[in-house]
Amino acid sequence: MDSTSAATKTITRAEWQTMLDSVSVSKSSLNRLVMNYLVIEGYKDAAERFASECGETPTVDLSSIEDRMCIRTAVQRGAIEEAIELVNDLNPDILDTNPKLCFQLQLQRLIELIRAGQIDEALAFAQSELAPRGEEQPQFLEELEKALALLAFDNQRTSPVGHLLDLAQRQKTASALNAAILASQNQERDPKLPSLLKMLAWAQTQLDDRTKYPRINDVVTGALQDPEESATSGSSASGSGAAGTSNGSVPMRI
Amino acid sequence: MSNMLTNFRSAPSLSDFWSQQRFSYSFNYFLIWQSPSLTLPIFIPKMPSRVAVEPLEVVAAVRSRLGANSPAGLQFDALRDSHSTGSTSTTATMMQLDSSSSHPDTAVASDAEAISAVRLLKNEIIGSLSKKTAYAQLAAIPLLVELLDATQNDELKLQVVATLGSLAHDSNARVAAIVQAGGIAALTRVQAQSSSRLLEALMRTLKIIVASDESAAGEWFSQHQQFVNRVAEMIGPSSSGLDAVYLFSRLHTSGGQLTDATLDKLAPLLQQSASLEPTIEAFAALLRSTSALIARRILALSPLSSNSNFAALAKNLLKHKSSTVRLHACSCLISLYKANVLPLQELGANEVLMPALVKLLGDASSKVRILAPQLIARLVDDHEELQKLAIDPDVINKLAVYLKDETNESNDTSAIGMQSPSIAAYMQLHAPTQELKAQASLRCSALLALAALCSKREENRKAIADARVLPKLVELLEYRDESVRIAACQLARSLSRSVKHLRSSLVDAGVAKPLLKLLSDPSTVVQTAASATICNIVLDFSPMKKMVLESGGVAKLVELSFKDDHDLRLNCVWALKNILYQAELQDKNKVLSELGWSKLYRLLNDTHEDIREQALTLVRNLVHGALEDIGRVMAEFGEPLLEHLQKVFQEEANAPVLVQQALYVVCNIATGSEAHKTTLIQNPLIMTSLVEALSHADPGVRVAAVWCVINLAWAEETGASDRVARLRELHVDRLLLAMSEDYDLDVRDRVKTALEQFAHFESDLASVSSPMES
Repeated sequence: MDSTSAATKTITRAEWQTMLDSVSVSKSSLNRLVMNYLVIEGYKDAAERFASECGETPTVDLSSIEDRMCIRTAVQRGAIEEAIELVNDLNPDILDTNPKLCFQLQLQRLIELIRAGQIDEALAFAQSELAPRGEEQPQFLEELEKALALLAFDNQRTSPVGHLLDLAQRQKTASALNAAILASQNQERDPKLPSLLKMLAWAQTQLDDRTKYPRINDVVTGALQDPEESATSGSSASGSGAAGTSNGSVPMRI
Repeated sequence: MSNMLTNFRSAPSLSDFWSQQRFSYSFNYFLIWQSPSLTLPIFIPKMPSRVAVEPLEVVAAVRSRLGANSPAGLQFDALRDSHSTGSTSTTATMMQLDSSSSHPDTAVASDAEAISAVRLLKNEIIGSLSKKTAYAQLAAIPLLVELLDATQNDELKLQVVATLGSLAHDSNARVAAIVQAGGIAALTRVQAQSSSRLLEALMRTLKIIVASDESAAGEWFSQHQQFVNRVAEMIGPSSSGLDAVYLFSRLHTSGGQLTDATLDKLAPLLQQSASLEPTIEAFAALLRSTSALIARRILALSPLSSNSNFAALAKNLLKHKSSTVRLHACSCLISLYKANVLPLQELGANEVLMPALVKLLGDASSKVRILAPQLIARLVDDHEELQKLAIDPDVINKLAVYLKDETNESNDTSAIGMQSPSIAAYMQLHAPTQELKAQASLRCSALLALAALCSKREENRKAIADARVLPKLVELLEYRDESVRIAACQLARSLSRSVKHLRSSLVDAGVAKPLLKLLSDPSTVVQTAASATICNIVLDFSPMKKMVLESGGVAKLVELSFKDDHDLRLNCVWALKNILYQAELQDKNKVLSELGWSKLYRLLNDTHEDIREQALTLVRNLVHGALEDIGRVMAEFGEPLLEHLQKVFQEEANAPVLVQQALYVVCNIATGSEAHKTTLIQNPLIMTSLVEALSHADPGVRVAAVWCVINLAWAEETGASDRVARLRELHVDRLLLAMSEDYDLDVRDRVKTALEQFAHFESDLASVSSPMES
């Protein structure tokens, strides 16, 4: 560190600002970035208002966002049948072209029946719906076997397959379905903004070893912090820590 | 089995269960999974449940929207009657049907009732192949098609359209049923302007139909081109607009429809990320099927942002993050090159195209992995220079990996966690059909790419043989999938163009035996491919020739020479001809004993000229060689053969190749005994034809005719002076003198040799002719 710090150059705020100004980022690119985030994350009202304020036309029909969010919450509620019907109304091709996802949804439906203690229904359902699908695609049988194994236990939650009853399992199914819907609309499954912020954090960490420069420590405000100030606050570790926390403040979905 | 469940549930405690019951757990399951027709562990006997839907009832509800006299309705009623008697019912659930629940005589149902019935049907079949089949068997398709015309309700139409789309998924049979029921016509009649959802569903369903069975749907659309024009107008960035892009690229049949207006609509879609993938795919499809003229217009498309032309844009897309986009960009570039619109030096084959294709060979998507080798094959096909450019250890190694057993899929499931032995055992026994299909397609396209890579270039054959592809190739000659067997024959054929490999590596790998077996394949296409490869491996210098002769290959080839399929017949006669090329007498005898004059005569009189040509060449090889060889043939069928040759000269005068081969037969007979030569020289018809052939327009025919003269006049043979005298009577010497000025070098050379023979025997013409020579 010492050998490099001797050579470390300090870039003043003015110099930095000149460099920043030389990069031209169009307003419309930024607007598209924001719109991309709002659309993919499903903030329909915000997207609508943003569209009317900045004149940026959304890449998709905004009503499809609402449909997508309805479907997601239905899965999160455990209303799988409803979610399947909704997604089939939105675009029947999604489940027809995603046998794995389709099976995952049916499996979730089975899990929900088991959770509700409707054992007879669960078995009938496994027999009539899941067995033929397993026959078509035997690679799914293992998952089915695990779900059916739930029935073998009195206390299902503490059983080795109890994790299937976790809400995280619903969340997993909901995310997979959401991603498939986005793909069917030729959209990315993840918004661009969070990955740009991750890139910013990474780039600053890289720079910290080489130079002193006005850092962005708070991505919410995006304010530049003068190199002297940041030097007093510590080394690169605190810097990346700051980026990390502000990264976390972005409402990202897992 | 229900005992098993109760045992589990009353297990004293969790830990006890795992320590004591684990064995019985997996053992029980093992038995279940092993059972020949898979049924899931069903713990409780049949019981009615709200989760199970009765297909017959659903279709009956759909039917009830149509009147008593509806044709599709009546068709369904008949089906239902046969089901309710129980005689044809195969599933337990169908027998439980309460036949009084809905009856054709009851009043016609409302649109609202029909909507919920069709929606239920739709949700039942989506994602389930078996249910699609089941509903199609219940005549659901004609019912839905009729319903589409019968209703004015947009919501009902929407549900019907979506359901038809789901039924069409991945099934030629169901697409055929839709076409037969007039489904495409009904779909194109739907007025969807008022509802964007209906329009979206409509376009999506048409897209699925076309994607599932392009030829069946394409045939319908080729007769309804006005609809394709309507599709072209709908092109745009919306979901239905992008479906229109797909439909247009697949359905336009003539370049005339690809108007500037359509191109102007397509070009901007290349600039937006959401529409890029379907649009570049459409361009790839358009370029594959259109003329150079259209290709030139696409190349000059403007404006394409910073790119100077379409090729520059496609080259930029070779770096795109989506592998599908890269794949179609490669396809576009290759098509532009193949249409002679993009010169080789601008293709960037070495710099950008091949590296992009090689990268695609290792892509995560099996669809991309299947298509990438096909593009390589298309690029290098029949082009030695490109085969040289394309060859790279990486290409061969990656393609060789395709031929190995795929383990990716099973890795996928084992990553999830514990994989029970029962599942693993089950999966080995019954690998899923879709996975099998993908594996077969992967192998097929890798084999074809390897075959194309070495079709012309010897060094590439060596590189492929060195990559240890051959043992795998031999295995794949017996692969269960027909297309793989065909592709394996193709690769064996490309490799067998190398004399070196015919003598060594192909022999070592044991390629002959499975190839011979394929001559008895149930598929004619496989037989044809195998016979084409056998043509090469029976050549004179190949050790495999012996093997073919010794294991009944000749009898099989003779048998197949009389099949209906023209290509198969041609290949087999060709192979027999190659067997006879400079063959030993015993081998000739073998062929003759199988073939005989009557069969040979049939081949010589085949309806196809190319087969007649091969048959004549076969005779030419047969009468080539020592006196014994010729004697055998002439003794057996000399007379009818000469008659046939006369017939060829008279009736096939318009086919120089046949005349030429017939002349070579004469030429070979003329190397025989004095008796054979006499037979020829005393045959007025043959001699007249020979004289005429000397002035034939085709130099190949003239060369063959001069060869005949040379052999007949060969001075060292007994009786030569008499034959020369006879030839002089026919003024052959004068003709030859005139021919010494022939523009064809080959003719001139042969004429010189012939005149030398004549010079051995004095003639009064010699003194006369000398002034002419100056």
